[in-house]
Amino acid sequence: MILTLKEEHKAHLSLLFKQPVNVLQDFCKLALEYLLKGSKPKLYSSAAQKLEVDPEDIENAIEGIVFLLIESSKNKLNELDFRDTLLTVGFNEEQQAVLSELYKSKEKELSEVLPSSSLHLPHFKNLEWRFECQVSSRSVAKQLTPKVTLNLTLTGDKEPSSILLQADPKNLQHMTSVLEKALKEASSQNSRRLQRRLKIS
Amino acid sequence: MKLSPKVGIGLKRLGNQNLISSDSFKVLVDISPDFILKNRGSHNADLKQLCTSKSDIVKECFAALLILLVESASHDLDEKSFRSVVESYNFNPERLRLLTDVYEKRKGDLRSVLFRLQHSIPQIIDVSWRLDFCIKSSSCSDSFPIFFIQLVGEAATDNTSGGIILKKYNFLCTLEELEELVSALKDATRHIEYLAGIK
Repeated sequence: MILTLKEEHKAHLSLLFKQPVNVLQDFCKLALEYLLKGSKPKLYSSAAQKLEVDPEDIENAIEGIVFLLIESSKNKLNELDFRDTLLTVGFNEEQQAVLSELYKSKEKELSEVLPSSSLHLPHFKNLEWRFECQVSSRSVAKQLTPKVTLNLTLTGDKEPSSILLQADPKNLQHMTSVLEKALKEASSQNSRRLQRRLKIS
Repeated sequence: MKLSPKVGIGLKRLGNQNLISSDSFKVLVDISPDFILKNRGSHNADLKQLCTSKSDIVKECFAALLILLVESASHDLDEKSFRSVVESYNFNPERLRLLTDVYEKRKGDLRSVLFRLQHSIPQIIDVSWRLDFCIKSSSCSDSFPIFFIQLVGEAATDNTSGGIILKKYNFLCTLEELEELVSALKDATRHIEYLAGIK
């Protein structure tokens, strides 16, 4: 399978066709940085001065590389397919080798990251718990109330958020057993059969 | 348990037959737990009736009585210690018996209301889940199971009305994440069961 790129995408990448291999390698580094930390306009403007082009073109080219990587990973291109795609777009053999190397090194990471980036809903990240006994309070001076304080960390759209909750032992037991059941359900015969059927290869 | 001198005066007046008649005393003692439990609607008329004469004293006595009940329940006094506290305010045996009976009968209710007053952190009361199987998405062609988890928490409202609101927390878990969550919860449960001597 070969990816067909949109004309606009090709135009953005076209800046790279004329560049020597060492410059392309620098672009790959910037693209990696972009993947990890997002856009870095300062770096682009210095690169733009060196190559004597618009900073915007540099950013477009970098985003072009990133988009190419993401699309390829999404469509599960193997190395050969990726090579063919690059050659069809207009890269030469040497340039293709550099980009293929980048794809090969990052493909696994991308395929791990991509599923979680779909629909930014909060995801479970961590659970910390503390078991405590409340022995006194303003309204009830004498008591011995066991409770568990839970700190639930979720990763949302941006920063991880944490939710502070408390549960008494009975509710904690209940919660544990309900979620355990959920986990068992995922590996039950019925749901495994459905998963096999729904899998699109 | 220590009550302030002002409350002490109120209680002494409550025990004084010349100030509070036996009938009034009975009504006051009967309705006081309900007042604390916020079922006051049905008793407002009773209270108004009592306040027709010497209303300042009736109010003072009633306030002292409520404080006595709340403080005693808060300290979890048993019948005997409650009686000894009340005895020091010159109640006659009949009134003492009436008051002790009401306290003994309603102490459980009073304490449960007092316990509910202290929800600072939302309390988990339920959890529900749903298992979906993602077949394809805009960013990924892989298929994978995904759990939707909803925790239901009970929290006190921000105002002082003492109301309770339900809060819902939604989040997603992949299979691995749910395994992690369950193992953390199991760990906590095991620890508590061990402490309680169940296992």
